[in-house]
Amino acid sequence: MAAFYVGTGLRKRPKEGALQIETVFDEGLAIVSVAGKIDAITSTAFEKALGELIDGGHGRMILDLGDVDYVSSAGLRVLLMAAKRVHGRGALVLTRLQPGVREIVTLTGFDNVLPIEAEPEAARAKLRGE
Amino acid sequence: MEHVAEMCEFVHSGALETGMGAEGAGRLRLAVEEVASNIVRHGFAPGEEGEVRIDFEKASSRVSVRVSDNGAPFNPLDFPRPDVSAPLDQRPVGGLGIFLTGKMVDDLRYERKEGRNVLVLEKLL
Repeated sequence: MAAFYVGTGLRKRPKEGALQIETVFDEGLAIVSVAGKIDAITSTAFEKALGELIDGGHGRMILDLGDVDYVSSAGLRVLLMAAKRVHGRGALVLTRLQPGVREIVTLTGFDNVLPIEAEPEAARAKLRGE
Repeated sequence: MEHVAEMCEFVHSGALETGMGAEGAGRLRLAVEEVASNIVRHGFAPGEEGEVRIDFEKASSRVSVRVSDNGAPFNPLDFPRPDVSAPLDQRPVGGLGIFLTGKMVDDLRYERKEGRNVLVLEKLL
């Protein structure tokens, strides 16, 4: 079986994809629930959402990635930039990582960079203790 | 970047059709996204028209994805390995794509041939 795809006329044209992001605020924490794939296209929307929260003073965030089945380096880049921005005045805690996403986080050492909790309640407790 | 999404979907659906499981197909998709994103972002000058070709082939025990482009010479295998143990304040933003590519496939080979970068990704079935 063989097939090929040829993409021509390539230019740098970022386009936002269909990533679902919902944020609720609870006792000073921003709980951001994300669904879909965080890839080279959707990472733009992801970055915008986190950026707006941080710009609005929400430096303590729980990122619930329970419905995220794919994260590429583009998504990791957004997480890293957000974590650097809130460093010292808040934290990003990841929770409910799917196994495939957890593997990517571990391979890249992001589990040494961002706190990870299995469940949202543990993430809340961690942030309250900050 | 919409071309990158099409390339990824092409490879992902092809992998599934070969009988590769969802996990393996997902890994191959990620590898192709990383490679293709790099080509689109860095392989051509702004406004320059580029071409990327993806050849997908299934042999008896493996899937082979050949990504070739007519961009500037670039061997991703020469890219320095990131320090994945570095703490937050010492982590540069970026540099993980090629690293992840290598982790997602079973073999990765590069050659510059007839004015094209040719990267072959192989994944065992």
